[in-house]
Amino acid sequence: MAQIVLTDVTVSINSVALASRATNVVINYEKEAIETTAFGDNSRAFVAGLGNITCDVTLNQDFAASSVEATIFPLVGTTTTLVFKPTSSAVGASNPSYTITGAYLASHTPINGAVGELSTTELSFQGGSLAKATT
Amino acid sequence: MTAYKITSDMTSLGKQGSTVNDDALVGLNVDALIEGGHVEVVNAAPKKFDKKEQE
Repeated sequence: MAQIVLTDVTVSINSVALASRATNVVINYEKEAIETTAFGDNSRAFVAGLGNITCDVTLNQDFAASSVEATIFPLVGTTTTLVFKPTSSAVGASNPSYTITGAYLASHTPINGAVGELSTTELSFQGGSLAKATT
Repeated sequence: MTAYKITSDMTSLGKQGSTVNDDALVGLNVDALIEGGHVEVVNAAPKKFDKKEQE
């Protein structure tokens, strides 16, 4: 399996393609560790508890019609579907797609930056369910 | 079933100008798509009254 440098990640938020404005994506997929350690055990033991998905996306802000701000602002406080792929190539074993359904957009930073800096927005999605597809 | 016209070229729902229905929008936030200028509701033609309904 080849290693990969991210240069062509596909980013879809609420079905809107925003890869051309995205600069950073982090999908965090975890299951809570519920401890089951009991007397007689020599080391701690765990079973999986609730799943917890968080997803952070950084976008270059764009106030043009139907672009970043127009797409993201109405999503705050609601849930939607997110789709990501490592590259824009077809989905496959070496280019899986990750779909988060029911992702809650907890925060958005419409104006974020210091003087002279590029305006960006940092999105924080929480919850939902994650599906990985390779076909 | 509601029909929606795609009004931007940034959505994966289809080509701009084409029409989709509710089935294509499952799991998506339709209100946000409308507010964001990506789709608009296609006004359905008013239902023709049937003579029997009028009587």
